[in-house]
Amino acid sequence: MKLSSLKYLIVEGIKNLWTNRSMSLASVGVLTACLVLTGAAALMSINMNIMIESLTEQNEITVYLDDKITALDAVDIGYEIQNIENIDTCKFYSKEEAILEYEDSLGILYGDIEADNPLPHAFKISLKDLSLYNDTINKLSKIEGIQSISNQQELARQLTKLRNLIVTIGIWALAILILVSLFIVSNTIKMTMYAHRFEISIMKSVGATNAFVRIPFIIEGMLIGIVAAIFSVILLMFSYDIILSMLQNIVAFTQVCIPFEDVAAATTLIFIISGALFGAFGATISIRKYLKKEGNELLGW
Amino acid sequence: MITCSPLYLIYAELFRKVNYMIKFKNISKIYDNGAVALDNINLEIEDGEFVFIVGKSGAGKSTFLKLIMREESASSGELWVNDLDLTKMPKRKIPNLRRSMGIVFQDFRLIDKMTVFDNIAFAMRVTGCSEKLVNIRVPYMLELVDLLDKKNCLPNELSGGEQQRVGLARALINNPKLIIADEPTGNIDKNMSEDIMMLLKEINKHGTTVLIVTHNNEMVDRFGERVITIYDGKITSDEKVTPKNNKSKGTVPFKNQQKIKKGSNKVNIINQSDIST
Repeated sequence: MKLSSLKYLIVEGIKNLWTNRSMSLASVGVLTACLVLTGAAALMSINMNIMIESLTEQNEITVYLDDKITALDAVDIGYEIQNIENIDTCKFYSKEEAILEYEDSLGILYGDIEADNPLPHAFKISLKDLSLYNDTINKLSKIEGIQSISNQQELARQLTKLRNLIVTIGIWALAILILVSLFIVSNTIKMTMYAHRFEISIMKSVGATNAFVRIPFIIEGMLIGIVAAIFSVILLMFSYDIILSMLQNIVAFTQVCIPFEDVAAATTLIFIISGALFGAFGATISIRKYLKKEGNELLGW
Repeated sequence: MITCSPLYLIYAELFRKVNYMIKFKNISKIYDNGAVALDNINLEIEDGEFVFIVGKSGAGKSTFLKLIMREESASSGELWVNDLDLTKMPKRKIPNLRRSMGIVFQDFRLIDKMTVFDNIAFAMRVTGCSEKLVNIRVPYMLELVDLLDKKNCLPNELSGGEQQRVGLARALINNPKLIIADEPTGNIDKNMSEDIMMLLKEINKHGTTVLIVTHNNEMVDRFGERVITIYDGKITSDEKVTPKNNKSKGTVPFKNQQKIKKGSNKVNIINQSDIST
């Protein structure tokens, strides 16, 4: 195809978009919702994956002792812990240290630490072999005086479940939105085609190929997709903090979250490509039936 | 010498190559609802002929045109248009067929929001012609139909006759070998009809085959050409009519009749290479 023809077809596509702007705007809206939801689910899933990975790689287990255990008793428990084969390091973490750290992280003073400290003494231990994690946890839990063990693996498992749920909900919502978007986009193009049926009948009568007739409408569909993609990226950029705070509510740490700047380029590219493809596909399915008609049948006469 | 022998003359006559623009061989068209629109039509229209197709409403004229334009396919028989076998033609080849013909509609079918210039240029642009060629050819065609001064007008600013001249210019713009006019004078007054008919005759003189479908028996009588009558899906007569009382005979009511002759070579300035898909 010649460059002049392509230019003509692109201009026609833009004109179509503008002429049918209210329907085009509706299509952009639905497609934007579809892309934002997909993007949010994907970004959430990516961040959760990173969290899960970091949790599973963490070689630190905190063993909390009973409230009544004194620092002196704790020393004995420490020896017992160190006797377990797979234990690499075992560090005493006193209730005083714990409350100070807690105060630091919250930025407030708790009051009379000595008298009211509700936190127990603990040990922070690391393992020689992470594959024997569960076995070691079992052995630790049998030691008398240990109240609870912070089990990162269990947290990772819970997070994985949550991530899978988000992905599943995301996929279903996406599937429904894809159908709705396709319906809206193809109807928008159908309306444009109906408005241009006269031109189309003349185009066909003078020997324009179906490809030539089709291109402006596909360009219109692609433009709808691209505009929706741009809106989606902007919306996602502003709502990314909300997504992260939702994650913060679920998991207590966010230091492993990816900043939006790191994924902005890839997200924009993927959105624009998928938006354009989506628009083109929506247009193609609505044109197919129309192009089979000829002459007066096309005009509905 | 063999060239002088009677045997050669018989031989030459037998194998004389006639270029048919349109050839119907046992063509029938039966629609899905069982209606027989055309029934075993056999017809040959030679290259460069001027033919009227007449018949009442529902006689099969529209189906006849639809088959030639390949808007419909024949149910049986063979149909050739401009050396192309339409019965075996794949859909992707239809644009090539339509580029070899120009169609003039009774209701003009001009695009309201486009100027006269753009309406004519539209037929070139959609076949992939360059803007350079559009800018050469459209003004020439506008001059030919005497509408150059109205090139920036919208169709609703023109009279019926002028609109049909725009339609004719659009039909001619891609240099077709065949012009199909479906009731070209149906929506315009008598004087304007005369203009349109004379222009079609002039175009025909330069070798373009012209096929006119009409109800207007008076016009058919006046112009006296080959007249094919269709009735109830069958050809009931095919004859050369002697012109009756044609006041306009031999005159062309256009300012640019000389231009048509002088510039006729210009009509062919489109090369196939300039037309892309």
